[in-house]
Amino acid sequence: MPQGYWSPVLHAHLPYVRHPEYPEFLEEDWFFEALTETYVPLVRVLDGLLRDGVDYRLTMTLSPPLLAMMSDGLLVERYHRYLDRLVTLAEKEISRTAREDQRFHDVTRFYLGEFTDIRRVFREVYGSNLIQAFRNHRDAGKLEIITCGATHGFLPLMDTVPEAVRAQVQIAVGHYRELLGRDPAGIWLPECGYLPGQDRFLREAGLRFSFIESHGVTDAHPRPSHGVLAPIISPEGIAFFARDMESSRQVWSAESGYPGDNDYREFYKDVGWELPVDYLGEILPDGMRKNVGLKYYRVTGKVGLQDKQPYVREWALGKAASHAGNFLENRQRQVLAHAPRMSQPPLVVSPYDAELFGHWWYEGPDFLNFLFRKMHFDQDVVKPVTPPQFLDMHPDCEVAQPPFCTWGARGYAEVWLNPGNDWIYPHLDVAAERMVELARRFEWPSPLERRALDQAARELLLAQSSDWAFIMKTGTTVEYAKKRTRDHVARFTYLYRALTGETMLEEPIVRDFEWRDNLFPQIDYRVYK
Amino acid sequence: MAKQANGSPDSVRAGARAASGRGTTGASTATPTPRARRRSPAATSSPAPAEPKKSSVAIRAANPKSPRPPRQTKSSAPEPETGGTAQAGQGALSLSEEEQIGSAKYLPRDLPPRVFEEERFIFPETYGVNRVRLLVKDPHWLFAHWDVDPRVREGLRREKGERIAVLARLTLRLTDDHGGIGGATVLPEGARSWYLRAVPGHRSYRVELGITLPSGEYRSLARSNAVATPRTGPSPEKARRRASYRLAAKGAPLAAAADIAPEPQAAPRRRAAKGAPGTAPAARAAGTEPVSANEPAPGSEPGGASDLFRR
Repeated sequence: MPQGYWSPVLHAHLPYVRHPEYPEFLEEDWFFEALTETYVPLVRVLDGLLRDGVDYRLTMTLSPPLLAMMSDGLLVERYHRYLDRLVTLAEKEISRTAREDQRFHDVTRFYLGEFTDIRRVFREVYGSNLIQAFRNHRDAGKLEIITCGATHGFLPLMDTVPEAVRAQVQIAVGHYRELLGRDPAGIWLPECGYLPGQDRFLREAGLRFSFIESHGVTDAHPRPSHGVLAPIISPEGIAFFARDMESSRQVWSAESGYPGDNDYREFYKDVGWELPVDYLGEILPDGMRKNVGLKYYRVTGKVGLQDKQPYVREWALGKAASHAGNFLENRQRQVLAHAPRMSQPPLVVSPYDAELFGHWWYEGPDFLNFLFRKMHFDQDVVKPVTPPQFLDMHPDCEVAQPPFCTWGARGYAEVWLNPGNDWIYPHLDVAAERMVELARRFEWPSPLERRALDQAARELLLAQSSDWAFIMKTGTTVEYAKKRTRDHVARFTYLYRALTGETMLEEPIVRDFEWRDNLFPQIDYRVYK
Repeated sequence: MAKQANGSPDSVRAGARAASGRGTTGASTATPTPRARRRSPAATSSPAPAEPKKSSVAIRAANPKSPRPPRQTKSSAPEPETGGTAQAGQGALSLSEEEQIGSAKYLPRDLPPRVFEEERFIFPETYGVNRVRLLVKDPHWLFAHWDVDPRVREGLRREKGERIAVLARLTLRLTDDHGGIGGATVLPEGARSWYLRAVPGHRSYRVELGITLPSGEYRSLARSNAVATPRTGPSPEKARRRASYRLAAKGAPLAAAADIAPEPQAAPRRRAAKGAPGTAPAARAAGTEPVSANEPAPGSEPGGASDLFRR
């Protein structure tokens, strides 16, 4: 009997980026990079665990935009092209390094093997349908797949239009059902954003549990007894699990977190910025430099990029194993320290962005692989569990209402509401109110009106994605984030004006919008009623 | 596994052993050595010296551009931002470590300016209705945004003349649910949103948008939704009720929820005396409540993008 439990949660999400109007589009790489470095490697790890009889337990969000991109024919086709180019470049690099730069020859051979295997798993093992891979693990009882807001809309700032909050939740649940064949039990609230009372929308959608930042439980009213180490139940009957900061810091912290180890791969030194453009060829569309995924250096230490040393895969794997052992040891200590004072085994909940594992921390999937194996084979103090499994064992929870909370800086909304991005909220707010107005006004729309109404809902949802405000704040691809917000609001506004008779409703325009923004083909605008 | 000339044999062996998937307890208890902070190029000590070009495709010196801002440690204790009411939040914006790392999934490198497809549909700059909405940014700050019907100024111009219409200023009046007044803010010309300081503690607020004439006369235009700022820190009341998750899963609100008393709000704070400048009537009803500038009767003119339908 374990003394306590550990519940790892990987939140996998990317905004819906799909541009059929361009032959290639730089921001689609977000998805391709995440597939290559995170999602497929994770599937490979989970497959190995299942094959070897490791009783792992993992909870993963597959956000609706991510699921939609995984099942989109155009993006899958473009991903094949992306993988083929990677393999071709790795082959060229093997020849080049053998001839000119032996320091990197081994790592180029590693990359060729890796890319070839990623392509094999994606194409041959799963027939380009990665959703099936996750379904397999869910059906095996090891993986709990949860949903998220329909487009990762930040719900606390949407509360002026409750119908918009409800729609984000209801559409997500319907989409999950459509692609994963059953209803989700849990939801990852976008940005862990919760406002008291929004648990009502989760209950209405049949959801049963979610996650919040630590202070969502420690500051809940009334005060829970066990802090973050036990779930609480909200007045609407939703079980909330709080993030454990200790285990989070071990992975996230820039100062003391594992990913900063000297032997791990250096994220910022990519051949896409270093080899000649004409040599890199078609992997750089229009000759514009970008990360291509071949990174030959390790973190090395506190040195400049020019002083980084070559990456040694074996050393990095050794560190991943060592860090997995350290993480496990710390969870054991944590559980043993708290168990005597609790009426039930302590539960440590560790949520992370899934893309941290693999994309940012290249050895992250290996770390998880080692960790689950060590946890299974080497000890019995702490065992992995999913939230529903924990609740089945320990169903009695304290009842409390979490306060407004997010997992953003300082715990509230400043990341998504600050002078760099606050201009979006008047527009999002009006568009949401107008959508409700349209849904109430059009009881019996004509076929064209129906298409326009559904498309208006898509444009609103796409504009609401919290990624745009986040990007405006972090300053990474601000131009694109602004463009997306403006485009979706402008398209929505055209549809609203056309549906309310201010301008002509033209079928070619509706068709064009449907072609560009094809998320949620089964959407029903009446969800906004 | 390829041997490395400068590699540590122990590390290589540890990797091989671990890769077998049967890591031993001995290996797992090794405490990692202190780790160097993962550095962004911006944090490096000096620019890269030019490397001699060894071949036509040799890897060149690092791009000296900074791909991301310097890291800051997440602070668990929220701190009010300084800078007064106006445009709070412009200073000292910080990201948590998670957010800085998370931003890496969206192209972390600086890119040259992009040329996107021309915008074909008009992005609305204004919606031409009287409306104001209030959002909670954190326990210390609220955010109000609004829109004004251009006919408000036209009406003033007809009624009072050009000079009065030009000098009249939009004004925000913050009220809490106890009728306390958070003060009036006369807004600069062209402002479309404003950050308002909240009193610490769990408390409900509304804001009223109005227009102040040079004579001091105030006319209400619209009233916002109600919001509540969160209490910070643990609740003074200890949880006593427990509920079964199995029962909660039936799909109805918990019966036990009725036993949770609504959280008491912070004590009323009345900063302004009755009739003093900045005093406003307490909020009248839930939801937004637009008011015409020229016809002070509440609700006499539709406001908000779709308030007619929402009501």
